[in-house]
Amino acid sequence: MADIDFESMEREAYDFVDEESEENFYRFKEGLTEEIVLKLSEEKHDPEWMREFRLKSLKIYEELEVPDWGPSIEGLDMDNIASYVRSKSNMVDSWDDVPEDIKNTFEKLGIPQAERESLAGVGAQYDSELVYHNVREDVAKSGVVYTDMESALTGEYADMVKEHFMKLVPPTDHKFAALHGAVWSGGSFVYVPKGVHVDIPLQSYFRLNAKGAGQYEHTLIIVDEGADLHFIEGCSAPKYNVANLHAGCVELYVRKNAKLRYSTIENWSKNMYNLNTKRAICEEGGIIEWISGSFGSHESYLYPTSVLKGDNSHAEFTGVTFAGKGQNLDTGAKMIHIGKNTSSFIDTKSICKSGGVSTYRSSVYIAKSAEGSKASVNCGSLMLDSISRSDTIPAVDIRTDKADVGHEAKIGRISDEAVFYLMSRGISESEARALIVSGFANPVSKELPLEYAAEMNNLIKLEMEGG
Amino acid sequence: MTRELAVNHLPVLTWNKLNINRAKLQIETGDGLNTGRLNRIAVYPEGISARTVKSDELDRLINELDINNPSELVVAGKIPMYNEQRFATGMGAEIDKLLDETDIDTELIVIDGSYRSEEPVYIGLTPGEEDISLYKSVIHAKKGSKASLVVGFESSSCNPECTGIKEGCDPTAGRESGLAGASTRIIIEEGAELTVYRVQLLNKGYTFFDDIGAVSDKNSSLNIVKLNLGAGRVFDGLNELQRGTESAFNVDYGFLGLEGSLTDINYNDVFTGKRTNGVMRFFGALFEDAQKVFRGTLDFRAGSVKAVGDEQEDILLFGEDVVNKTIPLILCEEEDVDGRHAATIGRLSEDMLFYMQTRGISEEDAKRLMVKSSLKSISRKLPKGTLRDRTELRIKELLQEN
Repeated sequence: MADIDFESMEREAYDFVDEESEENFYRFKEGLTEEIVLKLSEEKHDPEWMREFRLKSLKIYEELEVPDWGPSIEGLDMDNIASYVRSKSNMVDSWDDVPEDIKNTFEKLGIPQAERESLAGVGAQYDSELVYHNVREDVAKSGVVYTDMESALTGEYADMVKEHFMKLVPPTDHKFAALHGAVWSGGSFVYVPKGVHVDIPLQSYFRLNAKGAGQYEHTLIIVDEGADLHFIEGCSAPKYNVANLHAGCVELYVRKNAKLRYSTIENWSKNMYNLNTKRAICEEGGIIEWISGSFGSHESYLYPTSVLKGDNSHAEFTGVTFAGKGQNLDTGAKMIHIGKNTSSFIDTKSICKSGGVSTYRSSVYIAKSAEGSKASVNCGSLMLDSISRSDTIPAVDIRTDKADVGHEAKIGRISDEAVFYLMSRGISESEARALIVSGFANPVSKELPLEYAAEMNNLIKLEMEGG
Repeated sequence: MTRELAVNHLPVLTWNKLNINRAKLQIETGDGLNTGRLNRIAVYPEGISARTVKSDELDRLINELDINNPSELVVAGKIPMYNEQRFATGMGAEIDKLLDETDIDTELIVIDGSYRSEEPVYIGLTPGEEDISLYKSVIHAKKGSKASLVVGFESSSCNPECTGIKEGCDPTAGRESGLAGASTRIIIEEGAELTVYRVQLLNKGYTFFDDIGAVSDKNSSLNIVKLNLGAGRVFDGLNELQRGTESAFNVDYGFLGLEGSLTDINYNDVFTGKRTNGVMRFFGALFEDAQKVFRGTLDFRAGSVKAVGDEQEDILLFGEDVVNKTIPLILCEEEDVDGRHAATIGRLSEDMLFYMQTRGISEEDAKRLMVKSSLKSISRKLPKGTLRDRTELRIKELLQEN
């Protein structure tokens, strides 16, 4: 039997490239200068405050150093990254009106089908701008706002956007937050009014198709008092032999007794530098749940942060990271307890194989004011060979004696006994190993809607076969 | 003048905002380093010898034994962020530099291969008149040897061999404050067994550091039993390289953090040998505004097939203003290993408190009882004798005061 090239097969579903012609696409020159930022601001018809904000962010970006503690990002040269690429067509609310080549891309990714079957609304971003946005009529009638960020910036919710935009993740937070502040483009704005429960999820899908480009979408979600939302984020890109950059920003505001679940299946191509920032703040009794599957990217820095400001608020982070050949994925979570009787729970699984590097990094901070708080951290790592690397770096900082924190970390391999047991029941060794890894990642997949859990399990299977 | 040493580096960096990547050891130097050697009282039995040696002789020994245990940042794609050491210690190169600036000799303690005894050998270390008292030693346990060394750091000398608390023997006499520190390299050859007990009962005004680097060969074992119950500021680092197949390393560590105190710990267990086993257990209690930083690392390097590492930290918090930082790392580049870490940090469980209160024990007494029993589970590992008695008395006194 001829050898099967799993290495190329495994990403077939995501790696197809649609050539972008100059005729249909508009692209800024590579690099990052004040001129480019001003041009972007003009292109997007920013209000004056946003123009000033971008310039201020650029200044901060220039002043801040690249982090000295994570994976090396020496291969990322901003002089070779185009900050803005967009289709010359406008955003529409019908797939029929989306240009054929772009529509084909999303068809291949299964987005329109998913919208028909299981979603309350969809936003689809292609390179730097949204090309499609739609929300189900009944959901819109309940007062839920789901629109692109540009429309929100100047429309009915302009004041709300101004009040919240990059307040949770200020440009001073780190160098790539500042970069985002300077050149952000696209993304979604969601507002769920008081008491409204959105029973089926909303989804945004981000596709970076352009070669040597950056994607900097901004997601701002406000779930008002007593409301409930599940938001799903998906991302992919084809693989090029030059670096691409994703420096998105997600800001989530969970009001009193509201609940937000934010699920992500990230499958960027393996030339992507994924330097994304996600943060949520919960008011009294608010709940934030992060579900995260990280499979793609060349280098990743991703640590969704939950700020438990209100008393009795709660955060959960459930994540799986799979680092294969050529990947260095540095992922984890941060929990900040400020309110009384707050609680947080982190449960992560890291898998690495074929020379991949997987680092779990986290911090739990319990402020003096957070009396009665509880936190639990549970991280497991699975090494599938000895040319890979897996590190676990969890930090805990407690400033009160009225708190309880538990932490548990484990690292190990697939036991020979388990493989033997499955093989004795007629399952091949490779299938047995894939099955065990899927079981290891089960805490994440069981929290996802069925279609996404199936996608995640498929990604695990492909990664396993890829070895 | 204040001099600041960067010590207790994490083997990989994390967010700088956490202020946990390294510690700062501040030394008041006045116009210059006013240093002396810690006074050492010890009577070595036949089979254990001690002599002062110069650095070139130590270099020869390290070459002969092929010790190559460099400290460096191991994170992929990163360059070392601090000076490398050929024979790594937990606190790092700046302690070596400090000692190199003084004229303090190194004491080489050699345990012959024929020496196999469980009888404890006491080494008493007390600060001198100088502001800074230091001690540098290399312990070389030769092939097949077996020994127990009991090292006591106290503010005033007491005959380390006495078996009871004698009248007129006051270990708290002497200077109230100063800096006392020790740098120790431990070499354990094939099949050797060494237990090192280290008890620190210095006066509260002291800053104390204890910097250890160890290398273990095939089938050897190194046990460290440690209690920090005195100095107000403690910096403590250990780096153990388990390079020998089936070498074993075990740590039992206890400390009390009292009002105004700082305890900064950095313990790294590096596995390179096959079927090695490392177990580190830490217990501590923090009162008032005590601060503690714990860095504990299990570092499985390539080739450490079937190595097992286990680390446990239990910390009880009893002060509104306590600061407790913990960062337990597992670094792994070998598939076939088993590593785990567990930590519990916080209050006494409500169930436990309720149980005790139903038996007429007040909340305060219940807390003391729990801390005392946990620390005593470590102090009981000390050989019977004066130092153990003084240690247990110190535990009792400190808990009564707090």
